[in-house]
Amino acid sequence: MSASGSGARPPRRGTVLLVLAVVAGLVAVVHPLRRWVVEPRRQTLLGHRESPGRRLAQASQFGFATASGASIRLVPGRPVLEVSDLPAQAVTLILGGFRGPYVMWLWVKVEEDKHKKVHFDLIHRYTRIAMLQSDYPQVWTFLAWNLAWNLPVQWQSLERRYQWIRRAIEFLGEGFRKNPHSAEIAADMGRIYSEKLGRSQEAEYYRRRVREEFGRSVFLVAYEWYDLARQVNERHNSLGRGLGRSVMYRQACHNLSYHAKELTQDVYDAFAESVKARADGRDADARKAYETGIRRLDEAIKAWKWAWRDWHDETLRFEKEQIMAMQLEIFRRFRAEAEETTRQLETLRNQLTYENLPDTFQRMQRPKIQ
Amino acid sequence: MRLWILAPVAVAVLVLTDLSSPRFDLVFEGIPAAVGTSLLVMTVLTVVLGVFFATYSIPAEIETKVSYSVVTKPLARWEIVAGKTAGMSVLMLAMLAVVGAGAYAYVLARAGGIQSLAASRLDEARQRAAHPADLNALEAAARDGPLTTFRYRTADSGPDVRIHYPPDMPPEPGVRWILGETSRFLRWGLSTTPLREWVATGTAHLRIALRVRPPSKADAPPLKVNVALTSADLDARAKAAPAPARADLVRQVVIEVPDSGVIEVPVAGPNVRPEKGVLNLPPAGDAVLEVGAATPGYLVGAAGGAVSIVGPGGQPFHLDAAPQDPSAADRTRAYLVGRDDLPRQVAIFRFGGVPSGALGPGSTAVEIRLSVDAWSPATVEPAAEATFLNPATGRQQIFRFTPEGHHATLLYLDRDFWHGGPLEVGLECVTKDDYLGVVPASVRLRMDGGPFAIHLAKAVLCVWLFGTVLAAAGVLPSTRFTWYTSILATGVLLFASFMREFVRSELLRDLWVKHATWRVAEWAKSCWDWDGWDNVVEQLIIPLPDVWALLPDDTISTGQVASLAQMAATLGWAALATAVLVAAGALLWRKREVAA
Repeated sequence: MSASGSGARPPRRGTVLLVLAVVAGLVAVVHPLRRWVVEPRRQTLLGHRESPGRRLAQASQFGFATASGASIRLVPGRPVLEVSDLPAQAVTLILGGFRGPYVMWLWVKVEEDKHKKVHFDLIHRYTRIAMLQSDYPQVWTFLAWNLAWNLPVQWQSLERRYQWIRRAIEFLGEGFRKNPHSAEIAADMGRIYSEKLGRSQEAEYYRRRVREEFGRSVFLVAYEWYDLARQVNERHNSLGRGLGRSVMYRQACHNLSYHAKELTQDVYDAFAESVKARADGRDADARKAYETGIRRLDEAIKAWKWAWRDWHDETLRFEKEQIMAMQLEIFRRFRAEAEETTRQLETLRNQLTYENLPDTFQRMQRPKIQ
Repeated sequence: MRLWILAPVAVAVLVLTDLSSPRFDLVFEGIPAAVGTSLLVMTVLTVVLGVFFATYSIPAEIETKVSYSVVTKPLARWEIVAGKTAGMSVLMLAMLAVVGAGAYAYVLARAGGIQSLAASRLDEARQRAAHPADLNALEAAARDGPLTTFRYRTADSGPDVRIHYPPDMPPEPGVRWILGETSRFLRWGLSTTPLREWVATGTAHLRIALRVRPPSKADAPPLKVNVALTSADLDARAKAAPAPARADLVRQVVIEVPDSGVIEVPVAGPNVRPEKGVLNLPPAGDAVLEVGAATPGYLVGAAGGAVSIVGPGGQPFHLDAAPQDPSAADRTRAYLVGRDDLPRQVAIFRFGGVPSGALGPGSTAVEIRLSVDAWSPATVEPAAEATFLNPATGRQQIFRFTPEGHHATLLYLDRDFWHGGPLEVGLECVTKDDYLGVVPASVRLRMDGGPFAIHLAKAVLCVWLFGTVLAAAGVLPSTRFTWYTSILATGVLLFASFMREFVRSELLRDLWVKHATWRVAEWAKSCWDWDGWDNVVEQLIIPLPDVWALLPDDTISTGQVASLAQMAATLGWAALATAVLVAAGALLWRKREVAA
């Protein structure tokens, strides 16, 4: 190695040509790669070209589950290296031994940024970290937790909060693509859908947005991810530390119960509208709302049956495994709740007529999702 | 390997890195991230040069015996060390200039693409815009491009809290109004009255004639007001040790206001036994009467001559004074109570003569920072309203936006609306049950920061100053130790400087301070009773200079220009640090036999 000095030779023409050739080659490779591979994928990730909700909905038509209750098992695939990963892989290789210090610096900076509430570079740095440490599920889940929980609360507007959670979902989705054997990532995704979008303080707004974008209930999406996490964990035992197996497994069942409760709320609302319309003397509207309520009631009964079946399966699984009695009791209790509610709704369905709706409605209660 | 190859490699790395990193919001994050990446790459370049090359020169010359012919010249050692540092510094400057030019070209190209992207997204966003502030920002990016620089101008006066009256309320000159539940008071000084003499002989009465305007809602609860007697001299009140018998004096009473608006409050002396509903005069200082409205929605006012005092014997005293203006403390920080209908509070900020030339060619952005206490249900977004008034033309522009507690909201004014000169900004909270906190810096104008190229050049200059200090730090150990040891020493210095806060706060404060330095602090305290010893001892633990602080901070990437004072401070610190390091290097080399 030689610094510039009196003995330094002038640059040879060959060196200059070599450098120019390398730069030209890089441009020739990178530009088409960016134009036709990275950019479309980025746009897709951002949701500008295609809603991620639609993507997931399309995927679920083929893979995850159907609303009728038939759950199709999705076999987790092998890690796939896509063409769009090549720049990231190249950067990782180029950095060599400097990867560690660089990642450490990035970690320090993102935590500083979070505390200083500087966000314009945050996603950029998260992406870098995830790019350089993509094989660690905990990296994805930790950063996604920040995106879904710690950052949205710094904003007041629900739209902006929702956009941060969307970012967390996209980010974690990318993490699951890179780590398809990680039940931890899948369970964390389920948790974002269930706890953040489905049951937080602002859940009313989020549930509406998810329904608009995904075309179905947030709890069904949460169920799909938890169900996926169950399957991946059965196959690869990759749940990680911190979340008990039975605790995670029953989250899938819980989300089916929440979904059923959501449908039951719809039933209540439709009947309430019907009763009100009848009291106002709008008989046609009242009859229409009643019929809607009956349709929803059928759907709710199916959903409760589905929830009962899932609770029942898991109860049997853990009875066989002889887990702690206290844990088992939780499964039995919620299975009984699903069974009892199904029975009550079926009784209601058999006895309810348009004529006796006002009297019956007096005894109905709108279920709460907690 | 030739050093100049590093410059095009650095440009290539910055372009590749920026392009391969997804941006979730390219319009607003693209340029800041590209500038940030450019500065990062330049920093890495200077670190590589400083750590690996500045440490190399002197040991190599000693090894090859080139230094024999140098040190035997009539040159002082400090001149040689300074020359090495200056040479490396010039080399860095040249390379940073090349990389900076490349980065500028790349950012320019990126900005063109972002501007067209913003224009295409504007049409889509217009249909589903939930927040006008976001749309304004997008419009500005589409119209003026993302390459904007700015500096702030804080309001010349404000917040001046007023009441936004309902349109059907006739003006009543001379009457000062307060709004219910807003912690504002009607205040009168009673020092010129005979109240203190009269209460010494018996119970006097304060008679206050209030003007009342009920809220428009029919089922409004009856109006209640707080009437309080305090002391004007707060210091005297705080210093006076309260006697046990005076601790529970009645300082405030709540009274329902009759339809006539006239209330009467009995007042007793400070030594009279407290009695419910009877105010006690403060024992010291000039007495001040404060009246506040406790029922939301009511407007309560008073004019001059509204207060009269009736003595124990029935003798009257009329106070001609009007209610006083709010105190200075109230004018620097205010809480706006949210109301969904008029009347409500409005905080006025005024800008004096803003020169038209300082506004730049694009839209003028007004940055609004508020603290938000949102007590409304979680599904209700807090809403605020900003009213811009151009006093020269009398035109108004109103924006309704969702205030963010932790982040600023940018509102862009139309260029047709205001071309400089005076400007008034009124802020209101329009969500029921929510509160907005405002301070003088809550409203800032983003003035034109000048050409982007100069802005970037200043940032590059900061990186160069950092590099110069680093070069001096690299040369310093190399005057005494081998190349490898010098690399290690410089690397450790950089790393320790980077981890400075962590080392201080986490390691030393917990491990060392608690077990060792507290003894020093205790001993010092025993000599001189001063609470500051704890901090001083902590500060003295590790006097490590923060080399990284010389680098431009994150606000540079967003377009906020560094002030001349900041640049001068950076330059001064860098020069000082370099001089100290060069002097230390020369000292080290003097003790070494080079040409023996």
